[in-house]
Amino acid sequence: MKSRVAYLAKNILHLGEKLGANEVEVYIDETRLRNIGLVKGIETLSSSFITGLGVRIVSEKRVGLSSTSLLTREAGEQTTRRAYSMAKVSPPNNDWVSLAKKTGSIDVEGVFDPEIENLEPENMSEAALEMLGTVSERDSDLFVARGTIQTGVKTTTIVNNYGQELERKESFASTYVTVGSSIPGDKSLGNEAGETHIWRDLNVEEISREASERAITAKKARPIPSTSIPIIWRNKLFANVLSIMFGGTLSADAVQKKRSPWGGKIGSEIASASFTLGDEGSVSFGIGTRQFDDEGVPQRTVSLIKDGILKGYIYDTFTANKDGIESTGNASRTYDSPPRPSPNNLYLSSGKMSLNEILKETRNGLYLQELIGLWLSNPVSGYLGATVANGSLVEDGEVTHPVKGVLISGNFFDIMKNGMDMIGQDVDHSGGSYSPTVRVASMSVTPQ
Amino acid sequence: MLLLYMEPEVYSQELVEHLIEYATRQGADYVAFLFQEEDSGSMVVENGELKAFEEGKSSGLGIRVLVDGSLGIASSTKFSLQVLKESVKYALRMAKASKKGIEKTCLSDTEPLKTTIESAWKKNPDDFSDEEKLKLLLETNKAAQLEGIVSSNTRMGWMTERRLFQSSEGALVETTVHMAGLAHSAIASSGDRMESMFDSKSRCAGFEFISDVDWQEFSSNISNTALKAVQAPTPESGTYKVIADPAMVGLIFHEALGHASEGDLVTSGESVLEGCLGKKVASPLVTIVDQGIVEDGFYVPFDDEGVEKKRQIVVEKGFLRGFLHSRSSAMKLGCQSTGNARCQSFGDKPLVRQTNYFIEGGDRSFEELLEGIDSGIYLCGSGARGGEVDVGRGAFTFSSGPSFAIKKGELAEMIRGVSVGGMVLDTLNRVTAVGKDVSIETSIFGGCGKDGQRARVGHGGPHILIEKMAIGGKS
Repeated sequence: MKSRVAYLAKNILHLGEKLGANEVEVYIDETRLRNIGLVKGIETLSSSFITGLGVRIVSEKRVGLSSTSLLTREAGEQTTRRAYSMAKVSPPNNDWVSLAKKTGSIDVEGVFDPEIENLEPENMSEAALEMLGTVSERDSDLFVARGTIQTGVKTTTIVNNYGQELERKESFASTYVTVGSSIPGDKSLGNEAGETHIWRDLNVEEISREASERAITAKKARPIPSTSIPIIWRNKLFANVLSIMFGGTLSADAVQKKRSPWGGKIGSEIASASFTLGDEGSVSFGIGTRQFDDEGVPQRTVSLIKDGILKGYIYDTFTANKDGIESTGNASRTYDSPPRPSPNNLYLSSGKMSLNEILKETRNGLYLQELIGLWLSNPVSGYLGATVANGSLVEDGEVTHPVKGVLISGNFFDIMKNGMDMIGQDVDHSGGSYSPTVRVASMSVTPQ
Repeated sequence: MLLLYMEPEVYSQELVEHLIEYATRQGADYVAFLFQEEDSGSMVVENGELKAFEEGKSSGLGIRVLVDGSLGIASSTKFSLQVLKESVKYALRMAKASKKGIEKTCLSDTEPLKTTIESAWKKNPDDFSDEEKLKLLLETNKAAQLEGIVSSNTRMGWMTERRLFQSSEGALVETTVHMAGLAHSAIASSGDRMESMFDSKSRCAGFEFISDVDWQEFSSNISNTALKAVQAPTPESGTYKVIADPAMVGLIFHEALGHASEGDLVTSGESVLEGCLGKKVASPLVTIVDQGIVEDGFYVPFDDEGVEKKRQIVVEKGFLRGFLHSRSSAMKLGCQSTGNARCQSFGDKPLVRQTNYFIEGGDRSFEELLEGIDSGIYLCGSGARGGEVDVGRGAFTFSSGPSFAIKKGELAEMIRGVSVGGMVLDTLNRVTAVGKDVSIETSIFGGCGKDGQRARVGHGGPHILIEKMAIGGKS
């Protein structure tokens, strides 16, 4: 026990046991954040240090959770006593078996960058100036309507009455930019974002350039008449589709509550043979990669769909115990809420084609860059729909007119089975969801 | 003497004054402190069993400084004198981190206020034992477990949030909000069809709001709606005459017009309303306001810059009269703050946010709105999954909750799977009648997201008749 936080956690553990709890778990989160906000220029530079502590107490299958943002001995004790009294009043949860017992840590690469810990505000403002410069150099009519550059270091300490004290440290750097154009006309904008664990991997220049290009094309974009044509999904966009369609429904929690369309379908063919999806909890540099999950269970690779066959779900300790298996290391929580299963890094296996080859093979299609309203798609019914904010027509293998203001729709469950006719080799990510470029053979397009 | 915070280490108004003086000596032109403290709890019962019982306390302090128009912010959840001094220094350092590329923040004039205000409440959540809370929730959940319902989930939430704003201009504004609410969701199944329905009721009030309402009626109504909805047809896609209910009106116009009227999005060039001040943007029947205190809405008497949130007319009889402003967005357009600067938490930059944004009532009864509609749709907001808006273009797409067909001037069968889309200014110009029944709602469970910050808001209006709207259903 070295740190003050670990001492605090140990103290809570002792108190919980002294009060008569069968099981005690302490989760402590300390996050340092630095942020630059841009509106036309650098508008705000902020720094924060946020802490939180959550105590779960289990007494005869009764669970209570209490939390506080104060990491003091007094607050810790008060929180523990409250969690114990909450557990006492709760009816027993008959599905409760235990807190995580097989806790531990694995070696992972690329999740902590000491440079971020030592980053000066001046280094970040240089990156902000790079954003401003890239946008105005592309075209003097362009400006940064809104942007942010954020870095942070998060330290998480997890202790329960079964195992060792675990501590992990993650760094992150992210940016997004919205580029506007001062040429009169409609207010179409270009947006782009990026996220990484490593400061030097955050390519502010490239992200700013992409958003600038889109702000330019968006001005010329028009709707197209109703039709059904091949849709080429940019890798980051299809990554969002994966997270909407599977992020909730492949969790054992949804399956056990009968809220998932994938319940009872393990071993069934639910997608075409080229469709392989996994949760890569330990992949190097993965956004959701960690030494252990939010219950202290080591993260790992989980096969979800292999060659079109449904292989499994993602579990935390509670849902795993309920199904009589081991947790897959997918517990996710904040200090003030209980864990639940959530993907670490959803990963759709790539194909062999380059983006150029996919475009070349397309006689008449739509290449999607930016969408709005994608989240209104329905992972239970498979309805997939969104409004195109920025896209391009592809005609005879060439990207031609910019398109916006059309609604695309289709059924994702059908698309998984026989709709994805081309899969790229170019994997990119949106948050912890990874995908190559995907061409869907046909989706309906309707002007808004 | 008002003491801001006594625990765990000394934190007081005098200390803050001392820190303000310190920051001023170090070159700050303006210093503001925002202290925030929240006590909250929630309990969830699912299918007759307690699934979650959580309580939490959080507190923190944010420091904003302006140096030559450059805004630096530092915040912490620790309150020792040493940490606070470090935070002040850090805020100053942040403000001075760049000499180039600065978009200056200038604040419009405002009178520094000294006041303390609290939303009305009668009963403290702590006066009800954990057992009593659980009993009420179990009974509410049980009442909704009807035949055909495969899953039912009931959630209760309560919170008290205190915000204290203190500035180098002499402002000292303390606001306390009490809130409680209950939400219920039900999933009905029939053959291989599933339909979910949810609704919630929240109020800025004490725990009397929970103890005085018949929640069993509320939850069983939701289950009954889910059971009807799972059997309901989906309408043909097309263009319809539409009556939107207050919940749907609130949802659409908060998103599609409310955000476009936020001054920071207007000055950054992201709003479809830029350059429209004084112009006709809606039918003459439409008047829209943003008001800090309104019955059944969220409670925002003052914003997070210590400015009083008064009633602001955005659209008056179809003409755009004003935007919502923080002190800095107001300065850019040469006007006064409307008290709309709000941040999610102490360390955030205040953004221009709506408070309670709603359409004002007209002169029609619901029956009068129905009259003369040969074929149309009654669009209902309860159970709606939400929507998304392109604020720059004013384009919106929303899904509604279970709704109804209108046939020959009367409500007909329930319909489901309805989505609605359009351009907001076209839609506002197609409002041909406005009901007199204004209803506003807010929620303890959700909030509106902008720039990574969430804020609780209220929205609503009366029933309105829209001559023509694109409805997505079956293609």
